[in-house]
Amino acid sequence: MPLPVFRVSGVTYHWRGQGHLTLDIPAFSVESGERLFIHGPSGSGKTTLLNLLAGISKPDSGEMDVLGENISALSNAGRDVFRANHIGLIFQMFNLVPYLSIIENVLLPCRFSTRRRERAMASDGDLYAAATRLLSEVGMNERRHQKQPVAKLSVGQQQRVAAARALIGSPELIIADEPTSSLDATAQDSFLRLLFREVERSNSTLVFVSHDRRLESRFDRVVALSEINHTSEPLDEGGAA
Amino acid sequence: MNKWPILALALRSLANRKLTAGLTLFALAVSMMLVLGVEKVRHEAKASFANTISSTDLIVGARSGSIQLLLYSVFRIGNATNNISWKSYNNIAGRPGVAWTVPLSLGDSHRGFRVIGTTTDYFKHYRYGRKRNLTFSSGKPFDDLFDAVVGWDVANALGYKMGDPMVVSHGLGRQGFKTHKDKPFRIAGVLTKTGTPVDRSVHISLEAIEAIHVDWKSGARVPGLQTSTDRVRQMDLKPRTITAVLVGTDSRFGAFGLMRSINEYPGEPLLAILPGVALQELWGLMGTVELTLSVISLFVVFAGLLGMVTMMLAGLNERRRELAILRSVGARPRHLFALLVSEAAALSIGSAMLGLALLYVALLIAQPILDTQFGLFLEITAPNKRDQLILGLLIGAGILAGTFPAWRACRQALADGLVVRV
Repeated sequence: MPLPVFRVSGVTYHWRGQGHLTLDIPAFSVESGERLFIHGPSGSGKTTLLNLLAGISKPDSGEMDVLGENISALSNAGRDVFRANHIGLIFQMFNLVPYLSIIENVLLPCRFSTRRRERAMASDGDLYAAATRLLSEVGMNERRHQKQPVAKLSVGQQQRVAAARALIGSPELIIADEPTSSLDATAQDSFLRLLFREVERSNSTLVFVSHDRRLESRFDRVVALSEINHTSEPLDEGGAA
Repeated sequence: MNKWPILALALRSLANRKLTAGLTLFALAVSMMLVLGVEKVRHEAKASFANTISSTDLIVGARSGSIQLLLYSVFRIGNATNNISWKSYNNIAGRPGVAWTVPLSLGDSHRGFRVIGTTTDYFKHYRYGRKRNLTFSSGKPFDDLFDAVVGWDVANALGYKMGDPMVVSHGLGRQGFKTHKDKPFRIAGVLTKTGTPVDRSVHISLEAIEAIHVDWKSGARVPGLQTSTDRVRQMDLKPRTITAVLVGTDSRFGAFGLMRSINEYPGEPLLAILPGVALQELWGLMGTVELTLSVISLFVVFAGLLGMVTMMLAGLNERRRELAILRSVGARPRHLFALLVSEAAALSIGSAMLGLALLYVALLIAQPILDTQFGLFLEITAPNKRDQLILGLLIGAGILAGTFPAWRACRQALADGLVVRV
């Protein structure tokens, strides 16, 4: 029986200034190596859940065990360090720092996390090799790509670079927030394939959040946010995010 | 990986905003140059001012204000309202405790440069800076009646060499149409540069002053009178009046008593001053200007820093995604704080370097102009301790100013979380 990568129990959260709860999750867990698809309409609390999982926000009550550590008990700085060490994040778009090269973007997590740096060194010998290997695995191995300013890349290419960055140093948990929503169908398909392949290779767990249910068939488990979130009414969180 | 990852990021980020960052840097550099420049000019002016005359214990002239006396006798600015009689001069020179005297007779000019009638004691006793003697770059003190010794700037500006002839104008006009052209002089010596008004003076003997005025009365040539130079040489050219006297005493303490007794001299109203005291008084008059300049330059720096803070704050909104990305890859708020402060530090240090470079360019351009127009000789030297301290303080102020946008960036990043929807 694989260990849970994260286990949420009795977590509640509400936005400041709002009386009602945004999230109320009595119990929810994800197992190691699982590829989980969470869907829900916008405003159902997806972003809030991700902020909690990534340790950006702290729940009002309850426990958030991630990799055996109750991150809701950690300090702000402690959660930041935890995120840097164990979690790779991919967003819908604008993932890259515009003034850094592709390689430098991929290496960013290694600047802030010693653990990720050491793991990348251990797997490939040196950081540059780790970054180029990941880039070639996501199909961005050509030199002309790597020299290009990131702003010149297509959205699909940017998402591939973002995936390589999330994977460097093999973090245990990859959280992807609508990473394919800006891509066309072909690009979506190839992006998902490479993401699955790489997640498997590095033994990571994938939490994939999307409103697009056409993708769900490829995942190990599919969860509707409304199933785990017991708030009485769906809320509009867009403005507050 | 870079040893200073945050600093490297800050530099890349600034490079990404070349135009705004460059303009901010330039504005800050100009303001820093201004502070350094004002400080430099202030310092040098004060030093060159205090160095104009030394070793002279008393300056004596007709009774007027002490600053006026100092101005015309030492700085050769303005005019004496009255002269001292030769008799009074001899009285002073003969007093006990007086080691030496140098009489000065002013009132004529040569192409914009003051002509000083004096004795050869002038070259012996006049001291400037730290008791430095006047020295000759060529020639020697005047010997013949129509010999002249010119200061370095005079020789330079008018291209005079030893043996060249020159004509003294009557009065102080630059284009003196009333000239003493019937009595031409010959350059007998050129003094080395001193950085004092001596450089802009023409020195002739007291007798020569008398000689060129033989045919003159009340500032005008007496019609029909033209005494030949040969004839003049035969005449008694003992001066009847002089303008001021520089006095050296045997002991500094004696100077006070001497000053008091000269001020109470019954023969005619005289004024004796201590040059050091008068110099301080004069500098005190300029204190307001000095302070104003310093305050203005500090305000310019303040405006420059304000510009930098404005640029950084304005940039924060468009950098929300950038900061959110950095947080998502593990940057903590203190990293973001360090990033913004590093940017401010890089801008400040860059500005300080550029400002220093601009200062030296400005000094190279301004040096000859200030020297010839205002007699202020700015020495171009490597930045001294004082300059380094100022630069350090300015950089410190820049970094301090950067903490405000840095703090805002942290707050904003914390409020934004990971997903920025702009």
